[in-house]
Amino acid sequence: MQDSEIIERVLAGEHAAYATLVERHQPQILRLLERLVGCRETAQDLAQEAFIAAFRGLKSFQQKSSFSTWLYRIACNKAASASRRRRPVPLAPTADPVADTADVSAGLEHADRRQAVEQALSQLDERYRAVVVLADMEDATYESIAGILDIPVGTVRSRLHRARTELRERLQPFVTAESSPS
Amino acid sequence: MTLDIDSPTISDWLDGRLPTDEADAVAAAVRATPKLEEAVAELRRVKQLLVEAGDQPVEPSSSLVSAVMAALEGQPPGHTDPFVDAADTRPPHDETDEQIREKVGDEWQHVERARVDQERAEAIEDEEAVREALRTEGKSARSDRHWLKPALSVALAAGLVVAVLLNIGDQPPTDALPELAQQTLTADSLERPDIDPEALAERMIARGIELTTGRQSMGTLHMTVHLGDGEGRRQFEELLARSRVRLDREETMSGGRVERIGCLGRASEVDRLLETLAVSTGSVVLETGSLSREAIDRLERRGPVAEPMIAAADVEVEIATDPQPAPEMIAAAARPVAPQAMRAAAPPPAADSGAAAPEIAATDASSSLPGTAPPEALAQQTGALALRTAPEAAGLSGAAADTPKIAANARSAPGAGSGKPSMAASVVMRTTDAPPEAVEPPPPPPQLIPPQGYVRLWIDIVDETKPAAATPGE
Repeated sequence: MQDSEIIERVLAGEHAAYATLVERHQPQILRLLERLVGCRETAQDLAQEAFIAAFRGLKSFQQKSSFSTWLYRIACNKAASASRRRRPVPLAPTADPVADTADVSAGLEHADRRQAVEQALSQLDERYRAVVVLADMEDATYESIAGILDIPVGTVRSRLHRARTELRERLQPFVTAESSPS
Repeated sequence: MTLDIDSPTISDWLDGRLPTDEADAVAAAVRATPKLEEAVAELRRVKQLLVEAGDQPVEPSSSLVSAVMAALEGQPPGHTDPFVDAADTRPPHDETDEQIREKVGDEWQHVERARVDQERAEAIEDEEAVREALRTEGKSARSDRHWLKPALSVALAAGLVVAVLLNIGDQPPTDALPELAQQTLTADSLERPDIDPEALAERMIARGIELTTGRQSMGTLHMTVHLGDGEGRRQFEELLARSRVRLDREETMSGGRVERIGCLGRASEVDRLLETLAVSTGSVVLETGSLSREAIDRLERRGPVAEPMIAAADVEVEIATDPQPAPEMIAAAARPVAPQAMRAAAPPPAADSGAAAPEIAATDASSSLPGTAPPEALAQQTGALALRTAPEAAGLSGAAADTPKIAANARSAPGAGSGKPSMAASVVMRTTDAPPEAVEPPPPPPQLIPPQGYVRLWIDIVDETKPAAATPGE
């Protein structure tokens, strides 16, 4: 059954049908949120909030985009709010990201690389993080990212490049040791 | 083609978004510069690392469906909830990907180039502003130690900067004016019977002194925020983090009960922060900056409107907001302040001057206030403070979302120095109904003159959950 059909049933009063939508989309939403906030527990809480918000806003959803795109947008907003709560006042200087990873030698195992990527992502400004996660980890197009984040495509483009450039600096030990020239 | 690693075209190329001829040109440009080639290779590796990390499976949650459905039990879709951020559920762009592509074409490349340039220029400007601020601080400190010291020390020792300003009103302008002008006026000084706020306003404006939250500020604002619990702190910090003011000072006082932070931001950004704080906490703030377009529209429908004027000088307004403030409570709290504010804002209209009476904006207040007091009556009760219902605080949840959202705007008719930006107001916001404890006031913050167009904002964060430090003699 298509999402749109389920939505019609939910709006017609069959609220239990919403469980199907949650079941269907929760893996992607959880995955996205986990990458955005870097914490499984927080991601679960936010996913719950996102699905609840979507249910409550279902009447206003005009189905001009897909339900999943809309849901992604809600999830991104939730992640952004959570991120601001978690890092409220930058009173103290943030740790030097390069120094954080400098002691990690090149050629580390896969898990270490992943951890380094997660750490580097968590240090990115949330605006850049959302774009790069959607583009490079969720394989979303620039246009769909623009739709999800409600920003122009040009902004997606510049934020994505900025994010990658910052990550390049933060992940120096990994990108220099193993990369090969194009 | 000349490229550098900061150009987004590099990412376009890596993502295969460029037409063939342009892609070839980029490839050639990259090959021609070994350093760029190396940097591009690193970017490619970054992308590869991200893709690898993205390939990691994420376990679905077994309890999520049941948790969501349990939370929604008995609620129809569209059920409004003050805890829900309405912005979260806005539909995304209506256009399809194809439509967006058609519409934007290549135009975005030019637009984006201009935007990036602008961002760079702003970043440089920001850095220069901070450097300038630091230089000015040093200059100010030196001034205090040398030729300006006598004048300032007299003013500070007396604690009556208003009086100083009045006294200098008859003297020729000097370079000392900015330093004197940004001294904080105190509520006590405003209550002095020998000080006429109208005359003060006239003198200040006549001498080109603009203590303002507007566009040409050289003012320093000092704000106190009382945090009654962890939730209050969380909300405050969230709002502060959302703002674009730059935090550059931190100090703890009163045995850790008071945390003072210093911020520097563009005047408009500080304005926005103050308004957001007021709106989000449901407290009343004497807002003297620009009004929202909506509020101005409403005012215009009510008749001629003057530019916002000086409203208050370091006047503290405290309104308990929880659970629900009665109109009488607002009136009682605001009455001592508002007349002062309005007196400072404008003189009473003279019969032959043709000046309009002070404008009062009071709209929609009844929708967010308990009781049945008509908005106009409430506005009058509060001593000619204008009440308006602020928009829902986006992104907030918890108690603050339930509290009435009221901001107060002091409006005035054209009078003394009409059209000039307004004066900074000190704001006290309270997020709980806990009665304020007696606390020894922290020392006044250092007076650091912000650069043109910027405002220095000092915020004393009082943690009400911590006991007040014992005062000497206790």
